[in-house]
Amino acid sequence: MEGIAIQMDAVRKEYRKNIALDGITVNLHENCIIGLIGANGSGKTTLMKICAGLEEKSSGEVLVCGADITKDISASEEVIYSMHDLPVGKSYRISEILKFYDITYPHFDLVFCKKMLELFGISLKKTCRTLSQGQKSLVHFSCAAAARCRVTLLDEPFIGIDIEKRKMVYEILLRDFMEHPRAIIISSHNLSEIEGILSEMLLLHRGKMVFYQDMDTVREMLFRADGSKEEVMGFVEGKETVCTREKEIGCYAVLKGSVSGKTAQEAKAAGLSVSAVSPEDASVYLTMPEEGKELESLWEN
Amino acid sequence: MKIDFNDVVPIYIQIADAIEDDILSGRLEEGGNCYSQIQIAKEVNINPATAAKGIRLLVERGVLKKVRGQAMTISENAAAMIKERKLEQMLSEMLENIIRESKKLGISEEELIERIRQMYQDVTVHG
Repeated sequence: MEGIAIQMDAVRKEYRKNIALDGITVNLHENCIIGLIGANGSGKTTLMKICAGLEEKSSGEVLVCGADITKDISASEEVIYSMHDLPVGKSYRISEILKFYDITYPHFDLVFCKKMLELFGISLKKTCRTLSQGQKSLVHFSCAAAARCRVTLLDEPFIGIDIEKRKMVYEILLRDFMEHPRAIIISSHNLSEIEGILSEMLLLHRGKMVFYQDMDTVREMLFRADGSKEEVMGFVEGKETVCTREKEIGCYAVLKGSVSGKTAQEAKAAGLSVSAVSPEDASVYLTMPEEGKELESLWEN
Repeated sequence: MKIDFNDVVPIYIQIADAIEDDILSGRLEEGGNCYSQIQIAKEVNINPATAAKGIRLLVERGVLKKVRGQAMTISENAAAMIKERKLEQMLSEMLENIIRESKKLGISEEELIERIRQMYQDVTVHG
C-alpha cells in the first residue's frame, strides 16, 4: 500500500499462558520516526520482532513494505532489527561485525558507520568482550543506522549511553533520517528525551494499542486542571475525563483536549489552574489503573 | 531559534512565533525566502513534520506565501500583519487577566471600569 511501511491486521501473539499482543491493527507510515512506547511487558519487543520476521505471530497478518517478510527473502534485506545488546560472539572484533553488516545489507554505508564510531571514540580493533554497555549500544546503533533499511527497528537502542553521546545519537538519527528518509521505529522508556525527533508515536498497553498519532496531536491530547476538590469534581461532571486524583491538599483531573482548547478555557474560567500534559505523562495517565492508591498499601500493616 | 519542550505553547506555534520575531527584527526580509522545514529541523533538533506544521500555520495567517514548489516567501506586508495580530492577542490576554483577577477579588464590573477610567487620565506615556 502506498505510503505504508508496516501493515498489521489483527496481530496476536501468545506464549503458553501469556498474551503478548492482543489484536493489533495499524498501518505504520513510511518516512517517519515513530516512537514505540509502553511499560515493561506491554509488547514492544514482540511487536518489533514480528515485524522483523524474527518471531512468529500466533494469528493475523503482517506486511512489511507490502511483502510477507517470513516468505519473501528480498523483503528481509529492507528490514533491520537492532537492540542495545545483540548476541554477538565476545571474541569478534568490531571491524568483523561491520563486515557482517556490509555483506548482509545492500544499502549499508561502511564509511558512514566508521565515521560514527570514530566520533564516539570506539576503535574498530576492539573486541566485543572489552566494550562497556554504552559502547555496545553505540556499536549496534551505528551499524543499524548505517544499514539504511527502509524499515529500521531500534529496540531500546540508547541503554547505557552517557547523556552527551545520547544527544549526539538523537541528532545523528534525525539528520540521517532527513538525508535518507525511511521508517525508523524506536522503543524507549525515555520519551521526554526523544519526543522532539519523533514524527509519530504508538502507545501499547498490555498487548493492545492505545493510540497511534502524530506528535503534535499527542502534545495537545490531554490537559490537567488543578483546584479544590469541589471545584474539580464540579467541573469534570459530564466531561471526557482520563483520571481524577484527590490529594491531601488539592485535587486535579486530567481531561481530553488541548491545553489551549475550548474545555481548557472553560476550566480556566471555572477558576481551575490549567497546564499542559507532556506526551510522556499522557502515556502514563492513559495506561495507569483507575485509583492511584496502590502505593499507600506499601506502608500499611 | 529556541524551543522549550516544557512550555504550554505547542512546539509548532513556538516555531511560528520565532519566525515572526525574525521578520519583525528584520533578520528575515519581506519578499525574501523563509527558513525551510529542514533548516528549522536541523537548527533546533525537531522532526521536520513539526517544523512544517509551524510553517503551515504562517501560510494560513498569510505571513508566508508558497511560490513555485517548496520555497516559502515572506509576504510583502508580513510585518504589519504580525504587529496587528500580536496587538490584538496581547490586549485581549491582558484584559482577560485583569478581569479574572478582579473577579477573584470581588471587584464589580462598574468598579473595574471606573478604576480604568480614572487611571487612564493619570497615566502618561513618555517617549
